[in-house]
Amino acid sequence: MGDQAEDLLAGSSISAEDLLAGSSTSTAVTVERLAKRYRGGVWALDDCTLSVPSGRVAALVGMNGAGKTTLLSIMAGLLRPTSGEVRLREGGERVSLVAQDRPLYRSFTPAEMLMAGRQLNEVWDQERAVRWLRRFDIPLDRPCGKLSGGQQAQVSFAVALGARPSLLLLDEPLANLDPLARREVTRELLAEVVDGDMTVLMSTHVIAELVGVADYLLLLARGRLLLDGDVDELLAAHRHYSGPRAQAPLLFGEVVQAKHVGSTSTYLVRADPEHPPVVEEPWTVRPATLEDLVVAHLESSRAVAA
Amino acid sequence: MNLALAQLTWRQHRAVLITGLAWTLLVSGCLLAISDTSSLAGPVETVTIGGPTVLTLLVGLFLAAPLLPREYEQGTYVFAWSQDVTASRWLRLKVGYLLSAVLLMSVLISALHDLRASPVSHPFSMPMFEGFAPVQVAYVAFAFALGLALGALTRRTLLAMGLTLVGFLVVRAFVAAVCRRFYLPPLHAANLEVMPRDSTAVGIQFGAGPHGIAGVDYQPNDRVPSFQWIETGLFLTLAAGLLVLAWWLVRRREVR
Amino acid sequence: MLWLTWRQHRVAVIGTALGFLALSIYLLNCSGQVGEVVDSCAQHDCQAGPGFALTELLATLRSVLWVIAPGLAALIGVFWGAPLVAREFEQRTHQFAWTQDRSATRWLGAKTAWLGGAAVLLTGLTGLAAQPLLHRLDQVDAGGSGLHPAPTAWAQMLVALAVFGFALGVAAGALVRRTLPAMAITAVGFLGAYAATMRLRLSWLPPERHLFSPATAAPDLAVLPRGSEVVETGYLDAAGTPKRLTEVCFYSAAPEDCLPQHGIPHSYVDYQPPDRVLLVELVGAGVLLVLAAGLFALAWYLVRRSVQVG
Repeated sequence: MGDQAEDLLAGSSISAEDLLAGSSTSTAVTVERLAKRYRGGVWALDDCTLSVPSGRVAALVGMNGAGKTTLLSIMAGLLRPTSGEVRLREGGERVSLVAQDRPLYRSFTPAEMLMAGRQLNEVWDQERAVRWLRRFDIPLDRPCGKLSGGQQAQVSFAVALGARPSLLLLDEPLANLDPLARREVTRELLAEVVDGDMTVLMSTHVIAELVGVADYLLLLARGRLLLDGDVDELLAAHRHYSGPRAQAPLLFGEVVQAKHVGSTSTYLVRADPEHPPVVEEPWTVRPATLEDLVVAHLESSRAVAA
Repeated sequence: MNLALAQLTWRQHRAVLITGLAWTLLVSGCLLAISDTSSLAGPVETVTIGGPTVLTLLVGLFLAAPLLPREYEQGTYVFAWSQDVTASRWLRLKVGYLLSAVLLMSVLISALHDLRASPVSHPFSMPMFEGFAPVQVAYVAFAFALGLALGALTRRTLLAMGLTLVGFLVVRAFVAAVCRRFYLPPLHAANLEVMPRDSTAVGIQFGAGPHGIAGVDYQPNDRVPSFQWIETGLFLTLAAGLLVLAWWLVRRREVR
Repeated sequence: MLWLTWRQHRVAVIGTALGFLALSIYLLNCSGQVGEVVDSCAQHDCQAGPGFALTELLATLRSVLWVIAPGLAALIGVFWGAPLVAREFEQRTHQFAWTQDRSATRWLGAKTAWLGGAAVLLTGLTGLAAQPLLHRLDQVDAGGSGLHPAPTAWAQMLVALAVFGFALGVAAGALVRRTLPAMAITAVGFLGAYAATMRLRLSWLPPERHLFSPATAAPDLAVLPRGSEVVETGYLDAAGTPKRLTEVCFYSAAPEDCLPQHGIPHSYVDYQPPDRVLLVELVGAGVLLVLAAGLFALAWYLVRRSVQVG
């Protein structure tokens, strides 16, 4: 993870050589000043700039209506942005999207869905797709319309993986799965990432789903990027400091959130992880969870907007 | 509750109902506007037969056939039929509203047609025979029931629409070409010359005789009204049977 | 793409193909019947010629050739064309189909090529199957009924109608993105285009005019060159301005006397001479094909616009 943190730092300022080399420090996809306005005047994305480092499992987190699905659809080439641009890695990324509503031809059997995938792609890994279906005991000869929601999701994953994507976009991938399947799917996905030199970008609003899966976080709010970075590094940088009620903590760092309950004040502070601020009694320090961090950033951004 | 279902029915089917109504008004307007039917026999025939036929196909294909499959395909039957109204009652009420609406349109469009049709053509075939308002109304009822039953049977919209179209045309053509002339046993004459004037030949036996004709079966033209009522009854019976079939199919899948 | 196209549209394709097959068999069968009557009338005396002996069959054939066959061609537009793009949008499967290696426009191109090819093949074969009958009908027509039961370029017209309907369906589906409205638009649009084509069928070039003086209530079409097609009939007053046949004379026992009394000395028939009939009908079919090309381009543009470039 330490290496990846360095990769990340390097990734924040990519050079042309990096892009041409296609090395692990490059970004899989970069989005610049992207905006999407739907009919009726709703801005789903508003001046959104972000990049996803390649070879990682990145989580696209945001509340309902934050613009996650719009962003993924634009990256997959399904939607035209109102302005801005999407740049894929030099040499072309193979992008696969598993859309939120699991689009399958209802009358097709899973075997026929794989056939359709094979016909629509120049590169197709039948064995990989079939392996996925077998692993989750999906019947190959029943119409997709008659499968359960979870089984349909598995067929969508299989078709997406069969195309051997280098960038796999998953929109709420775990939504229809039971807890056991959820765990297995994430484990298998991680295995595929390691095997297949693949970048995964998955959207979710359930932060608990991400723990142990995503190693990169993109936090979206009202169509804009709020926070991004390596998950471990973000966790290392954020800490809760509690102490006697005070207007401001007597330490260095960016205060993300301040809470005052009774005679106690708690601050979530973002600081340099290498040199965390040292505090004295009676102040105490405890690490922040991913959920703390996300919620705090969202709340503070809402306060700013209001 | 009934009224609520009427609103729901309107909300779900308003596009087709409005289209049907617009078509009815357009055709009626055309028929009223044409004052001199004789010199425009061609266009009048086109409008008078085309008008009701398009309405009939619209009702069968776009209103009745998708009625049930859409609920199944979009999964909305789970919602529609898990309310206090049972599935079969939901169907009865919906069919009641929609059928009344389209039959009203059909009455309007074909009654005007009756007033306007030019009495120049073959009395046992289009457009004279089939322009009779009750016959047209029975066709509409039949098309509706056929679409509904095929939808209940196949539970797939496009398939039901295709089968409704084919089924309707085949039954109509078969009845018109094969059955109609034998609703009552035909009378017989030795040849065309001795056949009474106001009658229509329905079968010619070739053989020894003048011009190679040995005998002619014919129907007197004054039988046309009774034949029209027989055809009306035939299609209404078919429609009733199909409606019962659809109702039975839906009821069979009902949980409660 | 052939497999995918077949898998998704096989029910519609098979259903329509069966319809065209039945039509072809019927037309071949009718050709035999018409041939028998024409041949036997050539040898023996037929009451009022083969046209009379075949009255009923000719009436049926007219409706088959003018209504049933174009109706089948309309099915190609309604059941093949309209759902092609609209169903993908409606069931959201375009999210799958258009995010693969083959771009959405290539997907559309391949599908329209296969299905359009199938439509041309089906209607073309049916047109071929109709040739013997159409030749026989020429002989019946020459017998003097004056009314030809089919357009001369019937086969070409059928192919053009099928291609046009299919293109209309695809474009309507890409435009409204919902299957049933797209099907309805296609059906109505096809009906309108067919009615317009039939009405304008013989009017692409100015017709010849034959004058009857004195006016006749029902023009004797036998005076026209064999194989001519009537565009319009009408009446002229002394100044040469067109008049409608008045109701008075229509119900009159002797319209030939009635007409001059009401100031109508001439009647006319506008017709296309036989050597031009095929040409004007082919122009009509060509117009349909040009329209089809425009509709395909529109569908292509709409699909392309709905996905990101590149």
